[in-house]
Amino acid sequence: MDDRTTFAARGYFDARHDSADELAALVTTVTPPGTYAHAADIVREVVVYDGDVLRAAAPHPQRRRELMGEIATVLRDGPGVVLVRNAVDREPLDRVTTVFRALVDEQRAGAAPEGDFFADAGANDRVWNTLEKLAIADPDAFVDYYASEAVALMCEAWLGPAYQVTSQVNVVNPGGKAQSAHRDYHLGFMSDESAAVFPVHVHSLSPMLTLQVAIAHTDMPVESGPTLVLPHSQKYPPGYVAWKQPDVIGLFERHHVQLPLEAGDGVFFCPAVFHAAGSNHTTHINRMANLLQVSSAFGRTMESIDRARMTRAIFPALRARRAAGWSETRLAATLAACAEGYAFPTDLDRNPPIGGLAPASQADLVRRALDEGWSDEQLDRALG
Amino acid sequence: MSDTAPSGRRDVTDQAVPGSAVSDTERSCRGSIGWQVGGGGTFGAMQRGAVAVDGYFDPTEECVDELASLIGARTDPDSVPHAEAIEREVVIYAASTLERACDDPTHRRELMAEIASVLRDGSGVIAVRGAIDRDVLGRTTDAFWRLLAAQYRGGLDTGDHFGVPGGNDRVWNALEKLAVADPDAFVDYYASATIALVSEAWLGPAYQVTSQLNIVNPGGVAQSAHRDYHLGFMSDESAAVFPAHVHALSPLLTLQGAVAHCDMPVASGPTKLLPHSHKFGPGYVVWKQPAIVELFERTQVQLELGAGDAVFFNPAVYHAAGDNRTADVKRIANLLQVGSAFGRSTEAVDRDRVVRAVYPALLARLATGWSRAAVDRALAAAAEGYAFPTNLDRDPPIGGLAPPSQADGVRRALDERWSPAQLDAHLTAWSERRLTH
Repeated sequence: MDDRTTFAARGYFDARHDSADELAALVTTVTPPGTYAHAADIVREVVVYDGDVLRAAAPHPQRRRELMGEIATVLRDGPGVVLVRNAVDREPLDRVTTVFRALVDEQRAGAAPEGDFFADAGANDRVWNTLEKLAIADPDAFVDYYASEAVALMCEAWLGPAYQVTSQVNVVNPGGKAQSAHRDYHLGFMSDESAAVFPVHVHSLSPMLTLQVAIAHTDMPVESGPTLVLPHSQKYPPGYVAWKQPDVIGLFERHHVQLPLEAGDGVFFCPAVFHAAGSNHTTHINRMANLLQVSSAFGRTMESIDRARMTRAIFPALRARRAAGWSETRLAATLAACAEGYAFPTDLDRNPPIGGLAPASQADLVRRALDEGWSDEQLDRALG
Repeated sequence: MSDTAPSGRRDVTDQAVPGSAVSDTERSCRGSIGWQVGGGGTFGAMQRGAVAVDGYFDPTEECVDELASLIGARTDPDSVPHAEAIEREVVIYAASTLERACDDPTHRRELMAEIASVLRDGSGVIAVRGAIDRDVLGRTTDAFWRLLAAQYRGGLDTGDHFGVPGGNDRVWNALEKLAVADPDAFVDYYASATIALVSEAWLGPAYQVTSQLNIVNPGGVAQSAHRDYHLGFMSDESAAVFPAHVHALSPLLTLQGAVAHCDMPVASGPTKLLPHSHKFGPGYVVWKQPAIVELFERTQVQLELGAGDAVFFNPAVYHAAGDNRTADVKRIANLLQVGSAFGRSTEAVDRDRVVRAVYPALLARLATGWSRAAVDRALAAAAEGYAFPTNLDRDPPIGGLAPPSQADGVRRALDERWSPAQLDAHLTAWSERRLTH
């Protein structure tokens, strides 16, 4: 009985019994060209799609579903990393970049007088819950940005409908240092010891609850430090308890991939892929990305979001877009990024499931409001 | 558990790349069965056969033969050394076995792994005899009847998802209601080693207990067979738009349990269960097909329960409340739906209110010599054990990891014997840190 059998028989992972050999085999995998019919390219095991291909599929349910099935396969069984060229249109992207810069400046201005944020020239800036902050600061920009059918398709491919978008702006300034390799939420936010007390099947559950995304808001040549990823590493079962092992770190250093990005490109990956922000070796690029952590309808996000507040903020802009003839798919993409799409948890005394299973969700309510041409006040009252 | 059901049509995710995790995962799981086999390695849990080639399940797929084959599996007694019996594929434990395991972390872990393997790779159903002490059960049952009476006085019309209104009674969110109405009974009840150990076995720590009181009166009609939350609460069409791997995820987020609050002879209609049916890949989208319904009714298992016994099952096991054909048994059960720390529960529970209600009783139990472990079990049913979601501006991650949870705060309060007023202030600040503005 080998060590793996032993720990699997116990039902728990144990980093002490683990070997990195399996990871070594995984990360040298080469995907044959043509494996993914809709992909434009496979560059060093990153599967590249053209945003226009995703947008063109959006109005066609069958094509969209085929594409989503393919992308889910990449994220689950394949390299685990997708690059979408031109995921977000440049025009709304640049407007949002301006808002993001203002949010960063505002946060810096609000910092302690000693200015911790300025202490280190290489310091990074991070604005938490940029989703809600953007919706409040500039509802029009929010609506136009999240109307991206390419982003919506990617989220739904991995998570299914009613996903929950969260967003954090991250700016890595010249001199900013690389992160060490890690996995992400949920189990990736725990110490090895905390992760190890979750049974093995929960280690396979964790990555299915989240899609990790980075939208480039500036051009990102490799020297500016775009995210380092280790394709295929999401398939390494003990990864959540083994990432700090020297063998694993060594494999990451030897085999990671870093692709240059242009503003508007999006990188989408399974959160169990080992990854790390890169060093910014430039003297002039403030590398800005919108980090989306998109959760399953069934999961709990890391950040608390006041979606009713956001929905009130963007409703007039949504209504105006609809009146101006926006497509259903663009409206749906924006609405999905904003409103709560799932009915649970709820108070079943006040919100009983009579005559059906789930009560109506917040997003159902907003759809109805748009269809029936509600006023802001009507929606406000209905949101409670 | 040497289930060797054919995998049916090959699923698209079988196309493992050379050297992928699939082969290793297969090796590690062989002998238990294909929980992670045949579906594509790390994420292939439970996808066995009948996956549409485009990565989605098809509600029109005719696949009853596959289900019939799966449910023919028989559990090898050697695979469940801690069990006292296997009755028609329900693996039965004595509560004393679970209680004894609590004294030794290694033993507890072994037992949790065994139970997890039954729920995952085995029949999917266990029963624990004597899970709740009779005295505690009696006090809690009294409190439950009072909750129901109060509900009637309030004229609340509660819907029951799967039953006929009127025949059954249901009290939603009985967890919070019991904590507020009778904190002592709450603490004594949820200190149960059984509820804590089985919940942690399936979900890991920081699970979220929710509870609904369900009473099926004489003449109460059986439910139709179903799966449970998440995907089990959707129409076939809604479930079918979630990709296949999400169908494997759904059952990992919840543990379904029922504690019998009265003796339940088969005539009173204890839950009908179809062991091994949780391994049926398309199960969430085909359960209303007549052939599936017919197979369920023909092969389901009903286990007689004594008051205080508990049944726990994988929420993807097909199940249904039975007919109550007695003239006099009001069949009363506490339905536990225990959620993963990572998931969203069906019910909104005000855990702040629950914790404030039970804290004095927790302190009192410590003072009378209860073990800390027993107090922590009751606390786990009451408090929020997970740090997220939160506002990271106000509640920043410490050293890159999670900020303290509500339960962490209460554990500290118990360690330091805070007064209820001290705890109140702490809980208020904790809740405010989670608001976005």
